[in-house]
Amino acid sequence: MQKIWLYTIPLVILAGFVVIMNSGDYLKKPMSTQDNFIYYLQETEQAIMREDWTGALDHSHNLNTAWEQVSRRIQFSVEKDQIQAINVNLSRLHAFLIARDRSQALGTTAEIREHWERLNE
Amino acid sequence: MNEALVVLARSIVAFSTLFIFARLLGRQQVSQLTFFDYILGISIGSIAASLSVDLGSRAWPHWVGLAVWTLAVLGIQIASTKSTAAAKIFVGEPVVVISKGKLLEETMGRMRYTTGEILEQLRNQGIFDISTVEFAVMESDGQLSVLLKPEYRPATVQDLGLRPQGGGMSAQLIYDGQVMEENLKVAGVDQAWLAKQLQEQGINNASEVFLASYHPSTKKLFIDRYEDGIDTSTKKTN
Repeated sequence: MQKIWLYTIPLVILAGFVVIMNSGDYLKKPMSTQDNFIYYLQETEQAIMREDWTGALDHSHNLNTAWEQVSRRIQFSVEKDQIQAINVNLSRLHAFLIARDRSQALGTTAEIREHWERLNE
Repeated sequence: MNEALVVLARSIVAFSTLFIFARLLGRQQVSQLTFFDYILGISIGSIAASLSVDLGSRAWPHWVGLAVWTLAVLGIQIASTKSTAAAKIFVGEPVVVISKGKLLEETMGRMRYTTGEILEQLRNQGIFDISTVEFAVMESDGQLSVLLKPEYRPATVQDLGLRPQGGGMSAQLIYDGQVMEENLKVAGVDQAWLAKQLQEQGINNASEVFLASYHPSTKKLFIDRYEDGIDTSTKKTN
């Protein structure tokens, strides 16, 4: 009986580590209405296309809040550089929205989307 | 992102994984490692360190690397134990470097082993005269095994025609004040016998004893008390 535990416990620990290290794709999915990152990104993009700058700023605020929550969950399984890249892009997006620069703002949202999709690769 | 927290989590993963993998690889002593084993150990340790603190890449690829290197070492170990040919390739084989007191220069050259290194290893074994050596064999882990000429070998009990007493292992009956019940059975004695032996030496309780070991063959009981009666205080001398 003891010999079974001797093999089972390390195997369970190793399996747990594998799950934690690959949990990024699962953990970036929304778990509430406040952390739906991709939804707020789409809303921001649509507001930029309409040139609704007040709406775009509101959605980008929600986007930042969602990112704060998601990044806390996924920080153990993704690259630090990818998290930093999204942080930088979100700051740039905020600046472009204040400047009401449509093309730069859309370029930045595209970049955010690219980093988001590649988070756990 | 809290870097310290991520490093903490990844270090737990790296440390635990390395511990499990090291246990999987067996109990080989550092002195038994070949040069290749040594390099493998360093590489595995280096990957584990990257897994722990290299936040520039995900933990998973590092972990896969760690697992692959460990499995490769395990594969080599299994192959070496199952097949002599594989053992020859992976571990190497012992080579005679001194025969009948003569250095085999050609063999030493092939192994890139200098005379100075051999003489040093002989001196480490208390041999200062190479002509006293019958054979010296360089083992696969770099250790030198030496067989002296018959006239220089230490006399054994058999040579002296004596009948040795004892043999076997002694059993620890008390350790750190605690009686080891299992060892009492192994040594073929009991609590009452032990209590009597302790009383004969003026000890009333096993808790006064740091170590008691009993040799079943010689029937000798060694006792070391906590109170050794040795003054260890520092005294100033003029």
